[in-house]
Amino acid sequence: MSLLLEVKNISRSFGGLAALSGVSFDVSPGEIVGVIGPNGAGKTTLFNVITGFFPPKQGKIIFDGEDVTKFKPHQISRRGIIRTFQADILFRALTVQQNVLTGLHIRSLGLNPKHIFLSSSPIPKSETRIANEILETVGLTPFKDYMAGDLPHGHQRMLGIGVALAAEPKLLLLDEPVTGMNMDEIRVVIDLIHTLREKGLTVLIVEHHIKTVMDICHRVIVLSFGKKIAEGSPEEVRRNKDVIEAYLGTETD
Amino acid sequence: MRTKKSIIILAALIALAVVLSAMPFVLGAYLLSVLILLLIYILPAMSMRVSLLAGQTNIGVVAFFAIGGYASAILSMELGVPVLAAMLGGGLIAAIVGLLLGSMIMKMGDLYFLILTWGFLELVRSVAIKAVPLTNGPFGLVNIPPLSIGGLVLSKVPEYFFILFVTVLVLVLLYRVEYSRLGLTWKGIAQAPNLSESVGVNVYRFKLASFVISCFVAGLGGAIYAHHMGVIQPVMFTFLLATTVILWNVLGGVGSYWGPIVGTVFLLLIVEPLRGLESFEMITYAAILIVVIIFLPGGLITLPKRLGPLIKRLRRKGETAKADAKSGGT
Amino acid sequence: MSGELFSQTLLAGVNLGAFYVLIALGFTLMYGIMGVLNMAHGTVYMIGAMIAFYIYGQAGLSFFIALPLAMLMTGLFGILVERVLIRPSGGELLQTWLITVALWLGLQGVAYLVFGFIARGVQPPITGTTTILGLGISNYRLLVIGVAAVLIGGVYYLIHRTKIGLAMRAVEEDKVAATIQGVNLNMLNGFVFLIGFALAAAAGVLMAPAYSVSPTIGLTPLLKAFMIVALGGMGSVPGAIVGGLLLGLADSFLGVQFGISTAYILTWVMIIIILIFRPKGLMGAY
Repeated sequence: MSLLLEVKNISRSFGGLAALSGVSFDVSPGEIVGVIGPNGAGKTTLFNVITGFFPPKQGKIIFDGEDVTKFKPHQISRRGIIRTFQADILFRALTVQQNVLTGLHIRSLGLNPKHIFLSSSPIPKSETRIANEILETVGLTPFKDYMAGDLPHGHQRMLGIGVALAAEPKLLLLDEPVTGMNMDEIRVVIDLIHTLREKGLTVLIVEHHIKTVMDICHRVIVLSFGKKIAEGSPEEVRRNKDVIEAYLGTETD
Repeated sequence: MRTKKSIIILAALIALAVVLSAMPFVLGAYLLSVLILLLIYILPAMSMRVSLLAGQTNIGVVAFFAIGGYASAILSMELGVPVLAAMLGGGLIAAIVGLLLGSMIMKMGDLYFLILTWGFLELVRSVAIKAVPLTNGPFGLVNIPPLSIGGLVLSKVPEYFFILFVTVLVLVLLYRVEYSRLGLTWKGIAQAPNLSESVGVNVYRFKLASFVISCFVAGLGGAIYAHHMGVIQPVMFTFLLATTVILWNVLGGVGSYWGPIVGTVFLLLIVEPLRGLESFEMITYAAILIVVIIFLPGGLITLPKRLGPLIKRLRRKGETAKADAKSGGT
Repeated sequence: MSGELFSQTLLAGVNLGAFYVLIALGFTLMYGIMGVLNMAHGTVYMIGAMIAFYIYGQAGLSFFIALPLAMLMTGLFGILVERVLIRPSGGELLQTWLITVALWLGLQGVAYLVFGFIARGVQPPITGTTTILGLGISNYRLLVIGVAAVLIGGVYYLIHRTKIGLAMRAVEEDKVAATIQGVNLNMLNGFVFLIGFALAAAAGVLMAPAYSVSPTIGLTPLLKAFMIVALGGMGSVPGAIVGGLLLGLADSFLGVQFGISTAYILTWVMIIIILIFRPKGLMGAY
């Protein structure tokens, strides 16, 4: 079985501080892989490097057989790696529906000048339909015309996932998707991820909420101070001495 | 509900069309020329909006207005290009200059972008003053050919309709663009560029496109201006004018397509009586700008929304007063 | 270039540099500490010059009273502006920028009404030349350079050796952390405006005898401030000092070689080229 994502020996420093050193791992198609670690372990930096927001000082990222290390973020998105953001980054002054619509950018026909000036609806009806379907999937249909900035926190996270889904990811990078959600909302996200996995999506998820990670991940990677200190099934990782030590004194569940 | 709203808007637009068409026969020469200036000024006002949509403030709109004017004048006077083609040429040349400038300075960040587009006006004006063989220096170009179609010079009334037609055409095209995916992409870039990148938007290219289109529209406006006025001089393109373009957008409201139009109309109505009294003009502009920013940040366009609750409250007071009167009377 | 011409041009360049630094310092402090791009900075310079015109030129008070008086008056005006205009405008770059544009317009309009359109001159406070190393240097020029050096040194001392300077540097680095440490942002902002306006006014007073006084003299210093701060790095005090001196020298030498307007275009081009290769300016960290 070919690997979808290969992270090879990634290092990245900020100033003198090594945010990542020599991190390597692989992700196979259809897997759900979790990335955990105490605060400052470099998890979000890892995502930023994979998605091209920061270049690594060393190392390679290979996606679907292609070396995407030096690619810009939008090029990586076009290849099929889509991410969500840890901070609540949304188009706050656009409606919920418009937010999801933007996610359809890559496959949109709406940028064709013929369409802009001559068609009956400025945004192609087919795209609006797909956006509505995605809203249905993430359960945000009642909020379709609300301003994204007005949504409660948990719904904003869901919307972030919705936007990412609209971009038809092959590999979905979720950056702390359930932080700040209540148990019901977390349940919805977990079910959603399972459903997506059945449709063939591969997921890489960073989370602090250990229970969620243990529930849905096939494999877990543990980072601490920028290094990978463990990798394995959730059970193996939970029992790993180095991991326990890294988390000593830190909130887990 | 939706069709009711569309019918109202359609009716309003038709009424507006009728009124505008009647204008040249109703207004005197002076007022007609003011109306024409208003129509021309809407172009640089909207051009600034185009760049604002993508989150950039193209303060240098006036610079491109000037470039378009000079280019069109030179094309038609020195190279004998027919006026219509020269006008388009003016817009294109402004767009090309914008492309060059934009690609150089866009990567420097929003702050420097602001400063350098503003300084660009200075540069354009200095070049216009110095490049005497091309631009006739501080005295500028005179006897610029008036607007003509296929060699037929447009007199007062046809000129008005021509300018009206071009302005409306550009407005319609920009409306379509703003509500299309292009406009949506720009708005996304303005609010959350990282999110846009993550869904595959080449932010740099789209921002550059918005800047270039903004320069084209401004240049086109400048070209029409040059042929309408017959004269073009460096002294016409002042910082005051540059500030005025910003004011048109801010006063009308940066959140709405109609904002620049409202702002231009409103400001011209206020300032026209002050024409020539530069000091009062400046003080008035300053006062309006301060009031709008501190008290009405969304611009005039948000006024109905703000008045709405107020009117509702007054209406309710009137109804309770009526009810009291009724019950008191029996 | 002959030795005599060279040294005179050099001196003129230092003179210009001193003037530029005074303008650029306040400008860069306002941006670095408060994020305010003060478009009215040139008009403050103009007000300084006008105060010099009325107090020293017309009323006959000593130049050395006019200078601190102008600085005090505009400094207080700066505090007022910060309180009444800048603070209510909301925190965004564009909104505050527009408020400073409004201030620029308003002040210039009022200046037109009060002063008129026609430029008038002021006499230098001291005349004559001093010979240093065989070179005849105008006393007035020495005065300008001297006073500017004292003021600039004072600002440097303020920023690096006083508590309030520490507060300023802290806010420039991390506003939130600084407020947690107990820095009163409102007072600090008012103080920044006090200093920025006072310095610009000082420049206006000092240079009034060199250039004529009129409502429009503020535009050039504003543009110079932009160029210097872009060159030296937005928010960087050393950048403003180095950039100001460099620009002063460049303007002087290029002006002598090519004429003022060409020199102006050349310096803009130079700066754009530098910015393309060093987007944060020569010394900036922004």
